Amino acid sequence: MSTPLTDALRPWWRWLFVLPGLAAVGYGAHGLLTAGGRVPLGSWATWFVGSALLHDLVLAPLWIGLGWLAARWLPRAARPVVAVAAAVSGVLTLVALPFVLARGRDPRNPSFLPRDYGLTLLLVVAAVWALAAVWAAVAVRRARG
Amino acid sequence: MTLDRLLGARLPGPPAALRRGPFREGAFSSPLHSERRAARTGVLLGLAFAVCFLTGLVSHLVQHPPSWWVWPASPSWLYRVTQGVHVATGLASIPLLLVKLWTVYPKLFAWPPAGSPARLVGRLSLLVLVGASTMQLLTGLVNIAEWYPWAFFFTTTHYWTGWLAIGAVAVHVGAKAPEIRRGLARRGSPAATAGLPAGEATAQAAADDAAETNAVPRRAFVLAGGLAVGAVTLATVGQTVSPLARVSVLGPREPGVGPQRLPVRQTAHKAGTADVGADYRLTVAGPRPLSLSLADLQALPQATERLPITCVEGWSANATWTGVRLADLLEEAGLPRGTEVTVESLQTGGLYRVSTVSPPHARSPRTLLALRLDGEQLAPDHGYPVRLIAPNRPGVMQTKWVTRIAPGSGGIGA
Repeated sequence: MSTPLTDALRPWWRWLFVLPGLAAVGYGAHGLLTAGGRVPLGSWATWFVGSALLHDLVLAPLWIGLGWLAARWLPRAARPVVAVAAAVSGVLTLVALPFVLARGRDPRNPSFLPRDYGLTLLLVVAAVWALAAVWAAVAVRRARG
Repeated sequence: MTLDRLLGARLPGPPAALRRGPFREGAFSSPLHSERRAARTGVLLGLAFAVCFLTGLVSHLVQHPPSWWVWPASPSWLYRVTQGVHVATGLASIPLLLVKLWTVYPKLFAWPPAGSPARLVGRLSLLVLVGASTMQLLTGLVNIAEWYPWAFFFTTTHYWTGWLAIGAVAVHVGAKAPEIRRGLARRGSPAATAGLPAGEATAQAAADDAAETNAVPRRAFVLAGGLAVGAVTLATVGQTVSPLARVSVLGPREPGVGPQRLPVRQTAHKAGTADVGADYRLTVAGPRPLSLSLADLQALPQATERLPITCVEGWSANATWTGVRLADLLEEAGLPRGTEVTVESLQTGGLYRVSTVSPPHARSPRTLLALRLDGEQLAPDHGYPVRLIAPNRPGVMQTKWVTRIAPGSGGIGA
């Protein structure tokens, strides 16, 4: 067996994170396990694992698939701009989605979700892509020129 | 040493024929899937999580104060800032977390999936980190949309999972200390590859150099992350930073929109307090018990204060309130100023029917039993005929439709 290149005990400050971190995880787990009817563990576990899987099996593959398509079809000079526009519009869509779906809307409380979020999101995303299209066209032209 | 042997023992890998798709060597070609980008994004995300955790802890302590906790009545905007920061930082963490997970995504398909028991334990511990982080941000977002597609009580779950998340982040920082040190060192410096075997060090340095001139280069990566954080923040933060209200077109609330130009969380209809009749009385228990009609309250000396309503959901708005000072009323009832009291609502149920006014707030001359909002009689949704409005308290503790005040503690804030 060869000697490891790194010493597991170092740097010393790692223990200032690991030990309190383990304590916090233990405290949180204990709190969840003893919360009784307020935290049904089946529902908690569904959201805990489900949120991670939503990223790993849906969002990330979608993003990587789009990247693959962009690499195949777009001129090289346009790809940075398209990546930026996709990141901005994608994350805005994700954050606005619960407001667009508006499952919590209450007709007796017009102060909650006061806008048409579907239309607003569409306009914002369209503006982002319009800007990106101009920028990408300029970048491609420059790269050719 | 036996433990080392055991943890480091080589586990049998799956047959090589299964190594397909994302499991293939070099399946992820971008040099931005790197230790360097992971460490640098991680610093920002770690700071964001620390801010979220601490501001969340403050909110929890204000609503469920242990005996050692004292929350002041001044400055009146403090809770508005901490809770506004809590929700804004949580929203900004969504793009940061997505970027961070992207940088390390190829590791999900490492081959063999678990080379040793130590690796297996390490990967399972990452499930705690990723599960807690994604769940906190996702359920937090869905919660501010007032949509509850789960069987748990949100605040309890969010609080305990928050400890899990911050703990898992801390353990991760400790576990990845050498990688973080390398990732934060200047590119090309010896520290950037410290501790790596020679071959790996060369490959990593080459990949980091390639990231500068990649089709989507490092600068585009940083710009994408930065603009995504900026866009999410700008699109929502106006729900609490009112000058940006018109800019934040995707925020769930807009200060200035609602009955009497102020947003509402709990409606009178839901609380069952839409029709308060002439028989309404406010009772104050004490050595000289009081029973006051709305006209009696209007006849008492009135005070006007400009105080914010701050919802735990992250929106807030300032308003001008007029009514009777709580401290005056307590004195009238023969109670010393600063007596801890409970304030009870006419609403028949709900977790926030009763709130405790702690001594700093009971004593504060700015704590009102408000009868008017911006000069008008309170709208039913704002608590007609009488609501509590105190400086530096969350909205759930600004009890509406108040009907009884008594010394003691109970309900939210007890």
